[in-house]
Amino acid sequence: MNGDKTIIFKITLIFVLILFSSRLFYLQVYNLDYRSLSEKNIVHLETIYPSRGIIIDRNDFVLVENRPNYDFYIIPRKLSVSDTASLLNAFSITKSEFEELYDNAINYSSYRPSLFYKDMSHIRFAEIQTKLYDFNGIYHISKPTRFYPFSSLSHSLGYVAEINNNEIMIDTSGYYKQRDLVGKSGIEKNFENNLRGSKGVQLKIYDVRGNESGSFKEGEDDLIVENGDRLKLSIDIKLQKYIEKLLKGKVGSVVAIEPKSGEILAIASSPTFDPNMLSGRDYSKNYRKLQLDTLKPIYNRALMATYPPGSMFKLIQGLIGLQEKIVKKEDKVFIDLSRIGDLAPPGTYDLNKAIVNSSNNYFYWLFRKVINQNRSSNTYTDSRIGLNKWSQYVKMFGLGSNLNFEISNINSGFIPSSNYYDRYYGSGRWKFSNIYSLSIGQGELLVTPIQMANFASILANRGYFYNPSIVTHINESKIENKKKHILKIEKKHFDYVVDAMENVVTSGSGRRGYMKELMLCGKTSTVENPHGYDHSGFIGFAPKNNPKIAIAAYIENAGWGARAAASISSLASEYYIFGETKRAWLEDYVLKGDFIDEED
Amino acid sequence: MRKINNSIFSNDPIIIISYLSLIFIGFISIYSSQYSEGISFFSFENESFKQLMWIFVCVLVFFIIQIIEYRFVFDLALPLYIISILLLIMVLFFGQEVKSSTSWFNLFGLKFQPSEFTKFSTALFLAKVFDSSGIKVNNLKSLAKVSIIIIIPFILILLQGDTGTALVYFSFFLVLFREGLSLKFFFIGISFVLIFLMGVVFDKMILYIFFTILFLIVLGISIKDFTKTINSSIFFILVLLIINGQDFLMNNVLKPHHKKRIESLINPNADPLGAGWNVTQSKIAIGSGSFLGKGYMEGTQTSFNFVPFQSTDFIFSVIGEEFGYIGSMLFIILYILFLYRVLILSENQKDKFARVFGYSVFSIIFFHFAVNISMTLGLFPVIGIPLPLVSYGGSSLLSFSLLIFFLLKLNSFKPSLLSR
Repeated sequence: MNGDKTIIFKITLIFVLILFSSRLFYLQVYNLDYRSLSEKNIVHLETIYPSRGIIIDRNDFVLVENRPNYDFYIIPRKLSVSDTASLLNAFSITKSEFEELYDNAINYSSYRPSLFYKDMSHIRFAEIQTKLYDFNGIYHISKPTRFYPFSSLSHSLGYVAEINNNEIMIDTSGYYKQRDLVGKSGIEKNFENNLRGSKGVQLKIYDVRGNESGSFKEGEDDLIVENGDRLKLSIDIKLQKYIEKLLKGKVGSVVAIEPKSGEILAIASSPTFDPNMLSGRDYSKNYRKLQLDTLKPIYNRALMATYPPGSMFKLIQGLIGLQEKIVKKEDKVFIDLSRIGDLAPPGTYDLNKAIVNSSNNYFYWLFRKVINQNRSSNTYTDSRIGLNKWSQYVKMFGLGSNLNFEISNINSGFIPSSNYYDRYYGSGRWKFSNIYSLSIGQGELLVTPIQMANFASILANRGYFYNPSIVTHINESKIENKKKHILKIEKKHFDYVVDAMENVVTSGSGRRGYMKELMLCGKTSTVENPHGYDHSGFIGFAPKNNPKIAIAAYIENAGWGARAAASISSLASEYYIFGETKRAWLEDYVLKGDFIDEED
Repeated sequence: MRKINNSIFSNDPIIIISYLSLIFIGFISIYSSQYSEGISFFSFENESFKQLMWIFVCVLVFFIIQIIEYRFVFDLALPLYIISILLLIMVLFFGQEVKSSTSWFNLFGLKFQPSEFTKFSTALFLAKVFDSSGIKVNNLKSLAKVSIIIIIPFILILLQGDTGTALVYFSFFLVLFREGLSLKFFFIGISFVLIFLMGVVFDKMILYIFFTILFLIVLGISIKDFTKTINSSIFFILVLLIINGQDFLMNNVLKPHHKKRIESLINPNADPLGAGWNVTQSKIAIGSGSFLGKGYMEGTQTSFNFVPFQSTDFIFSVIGEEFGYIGSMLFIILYILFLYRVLILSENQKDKFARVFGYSVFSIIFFHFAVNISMTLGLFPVIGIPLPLVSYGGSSLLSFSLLIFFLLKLNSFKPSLLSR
């Protein structure tokens, strides 16, 4: 049946066979053009790697630049070395190591280049450069490698390394190839698209010996390489280095912001590491070392660590109380020590005195009045209404938010909501007595150092802020997308609280940070730490009028807040405003007092 | 039912041996095409290692198919077809875009292309429809019914932007031809394609004049035969529509890169490094292989990544360069032999289900083979379809293997079917 049709299929097969064999004959045997095209004039498609964008600080100091590293390739067929010892010496390898490399290469292919030695530093390269002419069959290519002249700001800058499989897989643009470098964290990662530039393609003609004999079609089909953009940061690298110096030997972080713009002047996390460790030949070794370190030097505490704010939160409580008309400036209340543990003496307090003396019981009383405003006869419902209102205020300060920061690896902290307590205690089963720790910034509330620095900036501005930002320019163009956040709290309330902050430094817990010319306003925190010594915290700004710097510092396990955090903040502010520090004794005190329990 | 004493191994040795050889050749070519220096073979970065894993998967699938019941295959046809259509719809919404077509699912890093499996399910369902309903393909109504089965996946894949894979579905019309579709339709179809291509080359006005004259001549000859007059008039109108719609098709349906590829086929030297780059480089690679080839792993054109997609669509350029004319011819002959056996085996099926399925297998693989080799040799526009069993790609290897395995499965039940 249907035999005739099978015939047609068979004929088709034979037709295809004839078609292909004659075409192959034409291409491979008859026509010599293709052979000569291949053998005599090979058009190579060469990728030209762009130079990654450099990063500079606000005063144009170069923070990140590119220095060449060298990869060496071997082509076994072409290898001829007159002095083997000199070769082994140049690459510091043993004879057996060399033989193994050679065997691997020849197993792969005798014609094709195999990787022989990776990431030689430019310094070493300069040393052996003259010998390279004797090593036929070994070729090098230079590749730009990140170099950090200040060995500083490692957490924010991030690092660059070879792309991994996973990253290639999720890259839908198809831009990246195996072995490409890509930003892995910090600014290097978040501004990858600006920094990397775009690869170019050059078509070059090579002759049979592999010598380049010109560009194809005079380069009209080439794709021009575009170098990466230059980023300018708001960082003042001198201030950054100074803060890093002060933080040495301590665990914690400091963030300094220029209040009128939200630009970050310094952002340090300690312990830190030299970013050059993660660039070049020893990348994986060093990375592992840093990862295994129990003090977690890679961890960016300024953005990621969360702490209860502690006493500095009393400023927010005071502002809420004033705005809600729960307290007035002239109000005086008698405070005993019956409610909550306290270091402040009992007595008659107004808000100013309560802030200066950091009276826990005053703020217990204040917070209770914020939470229970008698909007409902049911205490539980009333607490709920109060807490909802309170948390709206707290959110205005940028807490519980990632502040839309350019570096996406950031913790938002935590503001407990009614829903949170509903889950914890059950709906309608919690009231003020369950949440009173919030009054003094303890309890479930968690904030990050950068949020506290932003808070300091709000106080400096008396009621508004710009989201903190670190990158100010891409090439020459300024980044202008900043929204002014104005808090719904009257300026006169801020003025009042700022006066109290001034008193904190002149005559309260922040005395150690006092310096007449500096006019520092601030507030200390001693954050209860269930795991060990209390953390020490400070926020402040200087000078009082027309502030230039707002700062927050957290030092872990350093005990009472004034000791470490206030001193560091005061010194850093002085350094930034006057360009130097005159208080050598205080500097000494900070540098010597190592606040970590050293194990060794 | 009779006991299966004839295992697949004694089933059709030629098919099995050639199947294994093709997979082997594919594997070693992928291995050679990989510039994987510095990367261990046993790494999922390495395409040849991944291909080896897929080959093991195929072996596993082979044994699973041995176990399942014949009836099960039959009953599976409709559900599989529906599932694959649903997957094709889903991939439009949730798929991942790779090289401007959205045809991939990415599940936990494993990429999967439903349009590959639809080839298999369509073949199965087509076979079932032919088997269970007395379809006469020369009856226009029946033809329309069968065509819908083919056209639904065709359109869905076209929507994904994968024109190459979509075109593969036209190969099912070869099956219809075997089942009685008149050759007329073929010639009409082919002439439409030719007219379309002429539209790319020639000025429209010339074509209008040429076909009007041709029509008038035909009209003059068949003036006395009413049906012929009507038919040729309809044909003429369609031709005019194609010429007219050619711009629309080129600019709106086909993507710019397709357009360039069609143009570059007709004049490859116009833009040898743009659209013609793939083909030019592939031809140089194959041509430089000469009579004896450069030797395994010693190809220079393919190893330096001159030929794009060399492990997938242009795998034949590796064979051509490294094994030369001799190797290429042996490979082509092996492939044709393989296809020939599939054809003979299909024709020998007494059961309509098995026969239609067999012809589907033949048509799909033949279409891929003919088009893929043609495009590497610069005889056909680059439409991006793989060389079955040889090209790198898990979805494609598995779906072609499924086609072969099921054909062998059906063949092994041949005697028992007589008593069904």
